[in-house]
Amino acid sequence: MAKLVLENLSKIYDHKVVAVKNVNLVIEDREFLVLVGPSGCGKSTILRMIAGIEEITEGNIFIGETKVNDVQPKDRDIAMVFQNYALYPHMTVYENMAFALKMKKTPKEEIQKRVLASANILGIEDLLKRKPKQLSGGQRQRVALGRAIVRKPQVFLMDEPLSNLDAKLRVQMRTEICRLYRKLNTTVVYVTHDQTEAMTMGSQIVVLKDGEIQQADTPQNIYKYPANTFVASFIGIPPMNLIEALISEKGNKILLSFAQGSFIVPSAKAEQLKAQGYIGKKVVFGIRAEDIVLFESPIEMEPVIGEVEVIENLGAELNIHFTTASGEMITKVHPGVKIEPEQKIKLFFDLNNIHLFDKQTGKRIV
Amino acid sequence: MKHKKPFWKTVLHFLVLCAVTFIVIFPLVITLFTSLKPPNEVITATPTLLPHDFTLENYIKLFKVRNFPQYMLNSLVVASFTAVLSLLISSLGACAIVWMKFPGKRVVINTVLAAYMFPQILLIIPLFIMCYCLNLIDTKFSLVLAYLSFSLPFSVWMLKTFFESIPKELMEAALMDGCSYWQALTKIILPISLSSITTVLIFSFVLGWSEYLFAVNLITTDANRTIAVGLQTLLGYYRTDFALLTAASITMSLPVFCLFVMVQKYFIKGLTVGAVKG
Repeated sequence: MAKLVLENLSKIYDHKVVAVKNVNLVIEDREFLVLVGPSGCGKSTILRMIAGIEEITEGNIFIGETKVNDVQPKDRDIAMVFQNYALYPHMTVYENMAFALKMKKTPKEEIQKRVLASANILGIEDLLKRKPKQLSGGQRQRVALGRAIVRKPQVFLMDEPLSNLDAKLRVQMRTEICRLYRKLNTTVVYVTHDQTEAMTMGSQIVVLKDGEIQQADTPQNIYKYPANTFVASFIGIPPMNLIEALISEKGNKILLSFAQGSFIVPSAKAEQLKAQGYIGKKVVFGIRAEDIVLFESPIEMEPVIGEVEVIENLGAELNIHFTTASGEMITKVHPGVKIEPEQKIKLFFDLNNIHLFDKQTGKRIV
Repeated sequence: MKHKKPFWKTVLHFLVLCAVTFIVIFPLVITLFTSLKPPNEVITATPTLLPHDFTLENYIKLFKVRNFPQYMLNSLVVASFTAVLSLLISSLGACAIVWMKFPGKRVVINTVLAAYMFPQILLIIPLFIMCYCLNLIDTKFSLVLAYLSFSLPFSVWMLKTFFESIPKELMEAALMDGCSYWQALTKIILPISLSSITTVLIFSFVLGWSEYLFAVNLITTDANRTIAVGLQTLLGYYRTDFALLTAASITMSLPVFCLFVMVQKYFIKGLTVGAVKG
């Protein structure tokens, strides 16, 4: 098992397109790290550079104490699960799983033992004589996982392994992968564009955008303290509401006001705003859907008036889309709440869970 | 919604197909039946299709005339070597073009494409001079080299197109599983490329088997002649034994016909591969 270190890692295509920009990351031994971000953010490129199937333009990769920049993929002791499984179509499941061991000239008995053990863990013992085209999507995914497990590598790399599965199977496989991770107790680097997968699976999440790390932290910290507006809007379903606000001084209090509505900023946050010179400036105000209170509020604030546009009934909750003078907002309410489209409602905010971001840089202020 | 075709359209299509088939098949049918006629029935005042007396004497005479069996063996050697070497070199070239990074890759691709479009007849003189300088005139090896010079561009392009349709993750998975590029090619890529391999083999074999121009110029002795040139020796100055000639034509066609029958399933698939991406 091994620690993985990415040091000033960059990837530039044709001297022009910067896919990965100066990434510095430490993945501890036995950690489940998730690289998450929109399409084209460089997460798969980073994974492929770790695997050795993509050349590094600048920087270094260390597996354990060994710098592996020029080490062939087969010598890095890494196994990869691809998005489209990459099973060898002319080989049976058994032969697919045994292939890597066969290339290492492992004795036949040892190969059989390891393949059967892995097949047992994944519940695919009955499929060993079949070819990939005779398998369902979920079965193929398990075979792809099995092919990685038999190798007993230092690091597992998974490149969006669940993206080709239907929603129900995805949830099932997510749980299986988590169970497998606990059982194998090994280092995993997992790439996904699905933030639900990232939040539920990773012990550490790295949010990427345009080849740069936006934030690397635990799922809980990323959700509660997003580093910038991109992370705030990317992580969380529904996305965080972000609207423009003005910071002003009213007597000895700091006031945050919108196109319609305002509130007095709690003192701890007010001190920080004052110290950083935000009085009289516009900022981006963020509030999660679950932190918006409808109709009335225990705290004193001038409410934002929202007109109901769309009501999404998810069964266990309703997502209500509002139009306000400051823009669109979304909140979550209990399904028992009586709300009609075009209804005008007062919106109040839980002031313990507000987020403020710099308008120019998008970075978190408080 | 699929509309049912009017009956007259079906009949028209059928008639057109029959006409085309007739035009293609009829010369072969005439050749076959002529080869089964005794010499006195070949040229008559009233031409007939079917022989009055079926006979195999032309085929028997063929294998006693000059070195016809030797010509067939020479052609078999040349065609087989051309096919195998063409496959070996073009698969390595296509693999490098598709999956490897090296300087001048674009130049190599454009050169292959340019060579593919080059008229073969223009290569006669330079190839002859090269073979002469290398003391290869009148050797089967000179023919193999000549045929490789025009089969390789096509073969490389055909395999390149097919390899590009294979998901690159297969090659990457093979590399991560411990394969070198050669092992990945032989153990993973070629076994799933049967249609393209068949096309390359058939194309190269037929080229080596039936080519005439280079064979007549590079081979000077009877012992090394190929069947295409051997066939031409059956044409006399004053008189041609057409029965013998047609028997030789049928005999010459048989190996290629058998090869096609054996691999037609893969060949037809290979013709359309790469036509649609995905």
